Amino acid sequence: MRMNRRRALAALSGLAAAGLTGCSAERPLRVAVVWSGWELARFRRVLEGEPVTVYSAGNDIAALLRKPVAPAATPDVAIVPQPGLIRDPEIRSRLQPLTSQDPSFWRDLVTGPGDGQAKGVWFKVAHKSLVWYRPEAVASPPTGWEAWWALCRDRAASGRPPLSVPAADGWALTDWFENVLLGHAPDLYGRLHLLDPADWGDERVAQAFIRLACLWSIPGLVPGGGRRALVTQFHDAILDVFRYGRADMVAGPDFAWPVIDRYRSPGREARWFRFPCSAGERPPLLVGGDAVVALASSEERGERFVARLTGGEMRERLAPWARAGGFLSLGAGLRDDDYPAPVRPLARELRELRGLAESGKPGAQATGRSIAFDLSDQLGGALAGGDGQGLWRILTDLFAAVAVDPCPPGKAEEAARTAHAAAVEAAASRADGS
Amino acid sequence: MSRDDAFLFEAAPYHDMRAPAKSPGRGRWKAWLLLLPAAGLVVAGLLVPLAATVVTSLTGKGGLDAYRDVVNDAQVRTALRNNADWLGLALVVCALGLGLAWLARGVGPRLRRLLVVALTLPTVTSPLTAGVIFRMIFAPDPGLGTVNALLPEPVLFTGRGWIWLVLGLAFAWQWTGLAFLVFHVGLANLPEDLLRVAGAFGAGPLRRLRAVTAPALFPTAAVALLIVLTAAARVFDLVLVGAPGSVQPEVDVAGLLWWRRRTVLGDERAAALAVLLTVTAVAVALVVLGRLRQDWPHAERPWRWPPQPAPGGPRGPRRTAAGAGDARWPRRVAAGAVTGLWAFPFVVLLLTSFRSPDAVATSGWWTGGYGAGSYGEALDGGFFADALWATAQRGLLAALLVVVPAVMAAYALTHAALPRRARRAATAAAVVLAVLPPQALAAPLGWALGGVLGSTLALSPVHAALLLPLGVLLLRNAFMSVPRPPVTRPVAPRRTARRSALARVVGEAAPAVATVAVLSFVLVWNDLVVSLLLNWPAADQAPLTMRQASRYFTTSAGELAAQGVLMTAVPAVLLLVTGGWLVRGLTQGVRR
Repeated sequence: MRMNRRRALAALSGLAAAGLTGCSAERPLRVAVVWSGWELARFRRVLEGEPVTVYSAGNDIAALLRKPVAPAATPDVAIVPQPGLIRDPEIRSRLQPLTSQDPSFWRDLVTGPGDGQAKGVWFKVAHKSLVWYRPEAVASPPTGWEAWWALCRDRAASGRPPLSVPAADGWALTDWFENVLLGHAPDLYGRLHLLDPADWGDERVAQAFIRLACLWSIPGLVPGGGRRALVTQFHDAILDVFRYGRADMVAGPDFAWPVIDRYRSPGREARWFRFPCSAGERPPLLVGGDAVVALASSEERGERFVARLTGGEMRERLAPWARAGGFLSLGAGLRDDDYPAPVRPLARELRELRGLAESGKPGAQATGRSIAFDLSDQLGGALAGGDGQGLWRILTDLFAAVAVDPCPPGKAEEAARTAHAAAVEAAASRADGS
Repeated sequence: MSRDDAFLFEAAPYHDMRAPAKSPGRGRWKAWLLLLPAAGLVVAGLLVPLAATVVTSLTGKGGLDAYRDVVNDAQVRTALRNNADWLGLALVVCALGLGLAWLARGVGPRLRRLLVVALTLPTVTSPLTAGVIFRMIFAPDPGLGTVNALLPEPVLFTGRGWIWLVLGLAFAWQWTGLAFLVFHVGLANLPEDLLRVAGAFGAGPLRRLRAVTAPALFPTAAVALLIVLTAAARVFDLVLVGAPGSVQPEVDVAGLLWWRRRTVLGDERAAALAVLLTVTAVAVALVVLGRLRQDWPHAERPWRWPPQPAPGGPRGPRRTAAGAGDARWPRRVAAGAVTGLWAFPFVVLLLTSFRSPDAVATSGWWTGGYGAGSYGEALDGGFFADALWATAQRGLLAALLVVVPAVMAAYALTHAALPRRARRAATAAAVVLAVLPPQALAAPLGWALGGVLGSTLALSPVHAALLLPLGVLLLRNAFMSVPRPPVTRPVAPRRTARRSALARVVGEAAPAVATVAVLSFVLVWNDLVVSLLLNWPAADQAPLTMRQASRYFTTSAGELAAQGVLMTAVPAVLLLVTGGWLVRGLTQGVRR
């Protein structure tokens, strides 16, 4: 009896120990990502057969990089969508310097202010200044913001909802805001992530809110009305346009393509035009992306993995993902014809930022465009995103205020001013040090 | 109900007249020893982290500043108000369970069995799955949502305002069964003679309800009430998956708000919010406890409730058969309707899971498109299967870590020689600790467990600490129902006698022990909160995987349905296999 108990205890503690410390010598490399669902499955397929464990840390990637966790959960390599994290001194000290071939615009995003070392390499990038449309419904794309606004207004007045807006997803609304703001005030945009209340209080930020409110308040803009838009997610909006034909256009990044392609009704074509800007402004080029970092604790293994993943050795494995859409790369050996036709020019554009931006400053205007990284992915404090949080919530509230019930222009502007005040207040709450 | 009511005195007439089997001195410290494992787990897993959270909330800027900031925050106030609404709903759900139990009295055994299964299966379904099912049924698009397909005008059920209906129904669907079960057994064992006597003395139906029925029902109902109220105070996953992002601020609850905003709030204010959440939950527990002190049996008076019928004597079903007649058919129809209503969400889930993902994303379940594609997508790469296995391992270890200390502690609280005051204090502590929200412990536990977080089994002790108080309460009730032999100090050597006494009590109360084990496993299996708060780096919990897949609801609904079916299958099988025992374990606790 006694022996049995002892044996059982020994077995149990052995089990626990095995669980607590993954203790084999050649353990698989641990890769933490933020993706879920389809993207995660795709990425796992890329690494199939490799001695690698991929797990999703979701929104907690920041905490994972910042705090020590179980050896079994400490990543060797992480793929991070917020370049701000890579510049964060506390996190930087735990990362390895990496050899980066990325264009300077991209490299600067992951380079520390002090040390000048790039500690991340971009694995996947996104083009976020697009409006997807059905060519049979929109004969010629609008040339600028005013033309777009007029097109939407006329079409809505004739009883055909021109747009589907996925207002259930806060990030989609912040992309709208960032595109407008980047076109309107590119220099200011570049400073907003520092959360200086004076910058946020700038009248040009208010103008961006007002411009959005003016468009969103067009009666009949979205199918089923604003209330329905508030429960419409990004994928639902794509289905609205390309499956059911309930609307003609949807603003969305390049990674809308695989969803369009999978769910569009047979024979329905999809095209995009650039997110419009006002006359006299430079068209915005809003980008996002995921950079790979190697933790110092992973030593050369992590570094080697990053080099393999981004250097072109994995081309054969990445090509199917690129072909399916939703994956743009700065390099990795992928060629133009690895991408589906609609996003091919976008891949080229992002890659060609290399040569053109090399000469200029970050956010350079060398291409004749205002280029900037997604703002909401760089915001911290009370403006940080997430469902019901920060800038996401401010824009959701603005949409609800102007798009749900009939909203005359005066009221729309008032709602925009309210949203602006909320953003300034949120930025200021960070400045208090609280 | 008042103490001086004559009928109430009669409602509990079964005093134990036997000699008290107390053995002061040596026996007493052994009883304390039996409490030790449970106490150790509770102190390390609950009390110390809770104290650390309280300390954090008071340090920093100083004093109660953090609390003032938090209470002045409009979002926090909305969330706390919503929590109060959920608690109100929990009471409604208990009342609904009572009503359905009353309804079930008049129906035949076969239909009753169906009704019991249909009502209790949702209780072991994860809140995440419940959220997924109800979001499907109430999808705003008439081409997808069952309810909207039946309406002439589409209603935005997942939009502002209406979302409360969806979430409330999901909660009621989940928890009514538990209340029903407990009341069902309670009603079947009402003291008939007493009711008849009360009637003869001219007591009207209301007075009989107040004086006899309610006091007779309350002891069995208290645990159910506690479980449902705790579920309401801890609502998290249901809201997280059930409401679209734009609606989240409206339906936010304190636990969810804490998880989303803890970094923005900063340590002190996050801790203050966690303490406020705890205070809400504990206040609820104290209300229940107040009732318990009056109505619950004390260990000194071994409870013989419900009274044991004489062999072949009258029991619930016979009584109803006698008085039924015409009233029976409407009841049967109503019971059948309720069974169908409660089974319907499962039917939708099952049918949806057997449709291709593309069909699920673009059409309703009634339009066909059947195939196994959604399961293919759910199991693609084997990651979900791995997560299921890891979750099962964690659940098994947690169940073991709950049952062993809980059995020892419950024995100490009932049959061993603890002073009466200590028993009462320990029981009261168990009630309060049973409702502690994990948010109040997460930050210190995360810090303390830092080095082991993310491994498969690291969280089992945390789960066990959180579930232990409820386990002790359930087992205590059951052990009290085990009659004590008149003499516990026989001629045999003391050690043997003691061991056999514990073994005998556990043997008698086997249904309750099984219930605690199954309940612990199922709650860990379905857990999202603890894994989300503490285990995020590994993400090997099945509910976490499911939550990740729910990001774009419409296009992942097929995969989610398949995962939901797989997630539900394990507890459902457990429930069906151990069914009879669970009912007894939850209500009476002993073999009868």
